[in-house]
Amino acid sequence: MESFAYSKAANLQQALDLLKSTEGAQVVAGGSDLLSLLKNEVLTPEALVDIKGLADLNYIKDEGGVLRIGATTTLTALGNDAAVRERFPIIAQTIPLIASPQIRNQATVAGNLCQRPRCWYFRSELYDCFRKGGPTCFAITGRNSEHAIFGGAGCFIVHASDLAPVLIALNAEIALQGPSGKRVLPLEEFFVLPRMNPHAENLLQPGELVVEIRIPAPAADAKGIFVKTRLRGSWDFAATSVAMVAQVQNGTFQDVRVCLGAVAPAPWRSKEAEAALKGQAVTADVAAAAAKAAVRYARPMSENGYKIRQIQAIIKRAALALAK
Amino acid sequence: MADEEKDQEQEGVSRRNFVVAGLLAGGALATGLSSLPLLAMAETPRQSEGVIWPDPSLCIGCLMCEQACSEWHEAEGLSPLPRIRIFRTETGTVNPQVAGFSGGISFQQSPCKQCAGPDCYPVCPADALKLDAKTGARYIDEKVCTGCGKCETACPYPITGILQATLEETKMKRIWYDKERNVYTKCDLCRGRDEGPACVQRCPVNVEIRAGRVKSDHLCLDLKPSTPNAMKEIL
Ligand SMILES: Cc1cc2nc3c(=O)[nH]c(=O)nc-3n(C[C@H](O)[C@H](O)[C@H](O)COP(=O)(O)OP(=O)(O)OC[C@H]3O[C@@H](n4cnc5c(N)ncnc54)[C@H](O)[C@@H]3O)c2cc1C
Ligand code: SF4
Repeated sequence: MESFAYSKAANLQQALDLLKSTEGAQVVAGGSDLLSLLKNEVLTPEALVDIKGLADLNYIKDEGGVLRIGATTTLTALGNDAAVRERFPIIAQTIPLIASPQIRNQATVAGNLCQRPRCWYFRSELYDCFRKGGPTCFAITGRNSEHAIFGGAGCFIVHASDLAPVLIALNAEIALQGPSGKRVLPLEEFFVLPRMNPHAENLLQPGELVVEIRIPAPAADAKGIFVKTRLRGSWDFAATSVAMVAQVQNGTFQDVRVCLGAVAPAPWRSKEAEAALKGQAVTADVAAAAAKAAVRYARPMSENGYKIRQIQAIIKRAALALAK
Repeated sequence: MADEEKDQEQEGVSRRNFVVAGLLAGGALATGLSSLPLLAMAETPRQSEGVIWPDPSLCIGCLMCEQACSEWHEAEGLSPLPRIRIFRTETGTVNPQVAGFSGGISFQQSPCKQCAGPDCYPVCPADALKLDAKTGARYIDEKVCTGCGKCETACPYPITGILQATLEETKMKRIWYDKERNVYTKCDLCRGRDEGPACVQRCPVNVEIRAGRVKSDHLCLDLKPSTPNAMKEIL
């Protein structure tokens, strides 16, 4: 590992100041993702600014029905929170499916959303791949069983976060703070596809921090579900996942948001599946039609065609579970 | 090469320059001839030496060409829009050697055909359409382009279908608009790039062909000498 300067921020303002004043500084929170990239020398920042201990970003608050989650809240704390369990059971259901208990104790909500790709070429210091500024993507004609079936353009990573599709299905917003002030945007717009920027997964600017996630109050009749497939039985990243939040009245989906995970370089909102489900009394046929619509424009690679079948299976499963 | 030197070496010929140059040269060579043929000659610019020659059956829709194009032009201070776009055709023929890379889905590339008699060239009221001094490639000088769009209207080669980058039904020509910069842009064969066009160099199928793992006597995106009929032969 290359050496780096380390500073621990005492509060949010100090973290922002340190990031502004330290050339080449990178934020570290739980470190569960970043440290392996430092150890493999995939990233070699000159300085780390540690925000893990920031009490002013560690909270879960209910404000007028809007749930506000501070960036350094751990995944464990999020999953155990009484208000989350009662009002957003889909989040409580998702947390145990993320990594292992030890990692969840360490990992923060913002770290989960900003985690870097798991692509094996990206994670290896031996490959100067396109995302890292190199000439080509080794996955295109190489090993790609865990890569994207949607949204690839020169780079075919998948976004590995399980929390991101769930929060997008819940219509969450993200608050960022940096040298040019504070901005709040729909979480869905925070993530970027390679055609917009092949070297970053989100809109974060240098010196900018994720400070908060805001989830609006769901409709009274809203129900949500997260379904994830893995390549092994034990804890693992998703091979595919779907988060679905629907307003269901007498078995009919009045409104629905569907966000797919681990199939594209960003969480992939499936407007096609939503259109096929909305206004429908969801039967097995309707669910199958929605699943089929969702994969209409999938582009499989040489080893990941199985994702097209898996994602259809879990879209069907999710829709039928919510329709019950 | 110093920037200034590069600029001089590559400074293209605009329509107005070309007319004047044509008249002077013609005047010197053909004293006594009426000016009519000279004008006609002036309006037909020299053939581009090269053209990006695509083979849709080898395209796997990975969009590395779009990315490489965009990256290089942006680094040159030009519009970052890719000058080549990939359409999803689905009904086309796919070379079995590359079918696995894209699940058998077919695509079509849409670079500029560097026409022998380019309709875009004479219509530009700002003389932003120029010929590269070295290759003859038709290009738009973004410093001069006023964004009026006459070149795009004049381009006779529309292409319609699902654009792979956005998955949206799209209708475009070989010249397109960058609304951020208010300029039009088209393939310029990466003028001044030492390694040649970025798309040809970085296409992963080309890498496989050059390595002999995919057998083909031509590339997926090939820089070939242009011919007077190239625009009819290229899709
Ligand atoms: C073995 C293993 C299994 C895993 N399995 C899963 C899984 O099944 N599902 C899943 O979703 N995830 C999984 N993960 C990923 C895990 O959830 C992330 O590593 C974790 O959430 C990252 O949080 P962190 O606080 O440790 O982030 P760090 O490692 O500290 O940081 C990660 C990135 O986020 C940036 N960052 C962190 N906080 C901020 C902030 N506030 N503002 C701006 N940037 C910030 C950092 O600069 C860095 O780039 C797994 C990880 C491991 C190691
Ligand atoms: S998928 Fe992206 S991260 Fe992986 S090798 Fe290709 S360019 Fe690099």
